Amino acid sequence: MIEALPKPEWLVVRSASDRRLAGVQGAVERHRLNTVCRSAQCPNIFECWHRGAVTVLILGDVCTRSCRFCATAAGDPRGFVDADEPRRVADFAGDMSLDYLVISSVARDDLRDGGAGVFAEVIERVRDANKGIRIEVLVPDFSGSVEALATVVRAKPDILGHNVETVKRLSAGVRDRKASYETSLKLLEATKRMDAELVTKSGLMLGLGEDRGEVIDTVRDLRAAGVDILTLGQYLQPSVRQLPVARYVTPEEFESLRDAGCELGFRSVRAGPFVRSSYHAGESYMEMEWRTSG
Amino acid sequence: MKAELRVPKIIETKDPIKLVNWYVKDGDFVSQGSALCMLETSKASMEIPAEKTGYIKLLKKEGDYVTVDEPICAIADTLGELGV
Repeated sequence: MIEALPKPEWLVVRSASDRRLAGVQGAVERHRLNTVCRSAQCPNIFECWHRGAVTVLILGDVCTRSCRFCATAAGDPRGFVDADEPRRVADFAGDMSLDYLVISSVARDDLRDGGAGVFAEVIERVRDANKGIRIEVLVPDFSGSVEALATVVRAKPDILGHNVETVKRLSAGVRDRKASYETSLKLLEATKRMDAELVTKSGLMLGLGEDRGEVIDTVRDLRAAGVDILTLGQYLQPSVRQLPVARYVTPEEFESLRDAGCELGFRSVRAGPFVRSSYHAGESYMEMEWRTSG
Repeated sequence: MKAELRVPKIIETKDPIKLVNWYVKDGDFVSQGSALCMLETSKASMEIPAEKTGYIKLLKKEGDYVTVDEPICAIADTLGELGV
């Protein structure tokens, strides 16, 4: 058995069990929603839920892909779609008085449109029921289907995110075999071609065995695909069943990569050990608007 | 009044969680919010704060593996309640 690397001192989070966090937990359970925060065992959950920031996971909690970094259960949902889920997401956003909501999903290769229609319905229901809310979607690759992507783009989310997850060389060993680096880049490019005004976002996890040059190459590829917002975070192994961490990237290295990303022209870059694609998503959006208007 | 501090239910893992170290010992008086111990999941190290002010009795020792919602220490208004 390979021994896990000892965790560095900068990977310490503080738990909490206050009334606000319990309120979010209660609302999530009352509306019978899945969240990325819990499914992915995100270490930021205490901080984010305390702030009322939740990333909703739609289309169930069983993924049709088996990426080697992810703790979400893999399987075949056999085409099941919970028709009431869009209403519950909209009601949840209303109950929580959210002004920013991130919506993600498992991959649904068992559905003809990969779940794009449900994404569109959720966006529309949330917006109709919550005036002024900003909606960020983090979508799967829809198996490269431009039609599926167009369904989501037409629903006009404020941000469309899709993660490339890792550098090109490691992609095949880290992501499910149905995913690819090229398909992800094409999805991001296609989004901009469909709607040049739609803000796009992507991110990757570091510490899987990549080197700095490969990270910079990936970041350049994302910028060339028109991506506006970049996130870079530390890969953290959810359990012994997923890939081990090859290296813990220091906060200073993240800072240096953030600067490199900014120089390449991204409108917002978040980089740090605990950064995930939806971490401080609302703040990234505001930073981008501020930089654009400034 | 005596209360038990449990491993937060919000942690979504079925894997054992390691109690790495205690910052306090039996009989210590702690303030609400002060860090009591460090737990380690696969993903992160996590400091657990006191949910109330009072005296402490440890129910688990350093190096133990614990599970979600398992009591790890007791906090009481008086030492007598803890039998320390």
